[in-house]
Amino acid sequence: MGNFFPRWSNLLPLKLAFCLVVLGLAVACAMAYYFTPKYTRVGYMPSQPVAFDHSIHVTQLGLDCRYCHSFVEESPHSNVPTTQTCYNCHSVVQKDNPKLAPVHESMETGEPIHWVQIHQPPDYVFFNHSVHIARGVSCQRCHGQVDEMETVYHAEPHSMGWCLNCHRAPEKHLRPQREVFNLTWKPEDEDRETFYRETADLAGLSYEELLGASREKFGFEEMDEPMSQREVGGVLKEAWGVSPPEGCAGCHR
Amino acid sequence: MIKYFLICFVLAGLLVVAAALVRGVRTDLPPWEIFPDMDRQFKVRFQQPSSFFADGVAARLPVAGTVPMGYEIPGKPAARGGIAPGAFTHAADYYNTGRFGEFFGDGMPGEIAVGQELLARGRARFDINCAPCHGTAGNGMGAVSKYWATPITSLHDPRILDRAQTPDGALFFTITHGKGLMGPYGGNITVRDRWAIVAYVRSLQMSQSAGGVAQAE
Repeated sequence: MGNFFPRWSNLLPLKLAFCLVVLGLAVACAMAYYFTPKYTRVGYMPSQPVAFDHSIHVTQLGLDCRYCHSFVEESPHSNVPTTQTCYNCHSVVQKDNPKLAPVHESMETGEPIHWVQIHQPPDYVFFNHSVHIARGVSCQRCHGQVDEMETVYHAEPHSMGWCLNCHRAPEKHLRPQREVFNLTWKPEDEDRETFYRETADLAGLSYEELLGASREKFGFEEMDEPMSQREVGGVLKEAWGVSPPEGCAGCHR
Repeated sequence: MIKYFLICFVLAGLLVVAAALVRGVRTDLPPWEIFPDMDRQFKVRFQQPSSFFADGVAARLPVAGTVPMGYEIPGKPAARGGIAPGAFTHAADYYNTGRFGEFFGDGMPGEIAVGQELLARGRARFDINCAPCHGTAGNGMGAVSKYWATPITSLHDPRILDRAQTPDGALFFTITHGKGLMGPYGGNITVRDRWAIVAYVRSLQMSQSAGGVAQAE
């Protein structure tokens, strides 16, 4: 028998195995990093037919989200405003600004402005805006700091895991219902007495009962100590009896 | 051999990172659906066009010449259906139009229970929809008024305070259809909320009109 395999081939399987392992690890790392909505969706910032600037309208003018997204509290869908809504002001304000040409055109022809949808859940997800708003989930929680955006972009991943993070621990994100549309709200700004008086009504307890129970649970001494998200969210979760669905059928009907 | 592999490996890695960049980069490219299983289904979606209909509009209007069930044909009470009047916002009664036939009515329609709750709702809706121009105090000094061509009507104007000139129904009608430079808000505010705003505007006028009353006397 001749010696078929030269000496260098002794280590070949080992070297090949090494290369494959390195390659496999790299591919796994790349997939973990790239094959997730944190990469595929976050940062999506399409240019819109009209360069609508949320920071001017919300922060500078102080318009409420619901001036344009008028039925977000009643509907599963947060409506994009009609051309008429733009026209309520822009029939007069900045009328000749060339940026508004598509608005005038739409008004004349009746053809809606083709806004590009940024946040597009898959069609088998039945997300409902109204229920989230009714239970103190702010716009900002899912859409980011829209009030400061000149051009809106996809700020959060909107993956299923991301939804479930909040569904499993809603107290980390809930706020009083009146502050849902206030995108600059912070738990520290909350006045403890006002908060407990309002929440006591929701919980069907007396103010003193609720305050006493919370004092024990969250360990604050003085009434003017700043509130924490843990306290605000925890109390609201109890008062509202929030128990978000974690089963498939909650969102996939 | 390992050396060549590692060189190629690093180069390929750099190439991937250079092409794909990092998470969160602002981009015009639509989200990449890696497993687009049933993400986009052939169904009608909110405010989206549909290729199913020739005109591309998914939100269909009633076919010309048809009448929705329960809709009361104006002037034909025999067509009154099982649904309460007002189930359709284009019914012709006072609640939906602010008018009795040709004339504006005054006072709240029977469908509306006036109380704290209604006024609170009216205030919230007023602050969202009306305050940008008319101001939270109703004095016409809202944030938009700085950019407006003409002075914005103050809701404490004697013309609007006077119920003979501006009855509640006329306020409702103006909110619904607009007036002068003011656009129609019927599409943005529900009928009930429009009445709530009317009630709130009246209470706003009362709260500010102490001086006006004294002047009249």
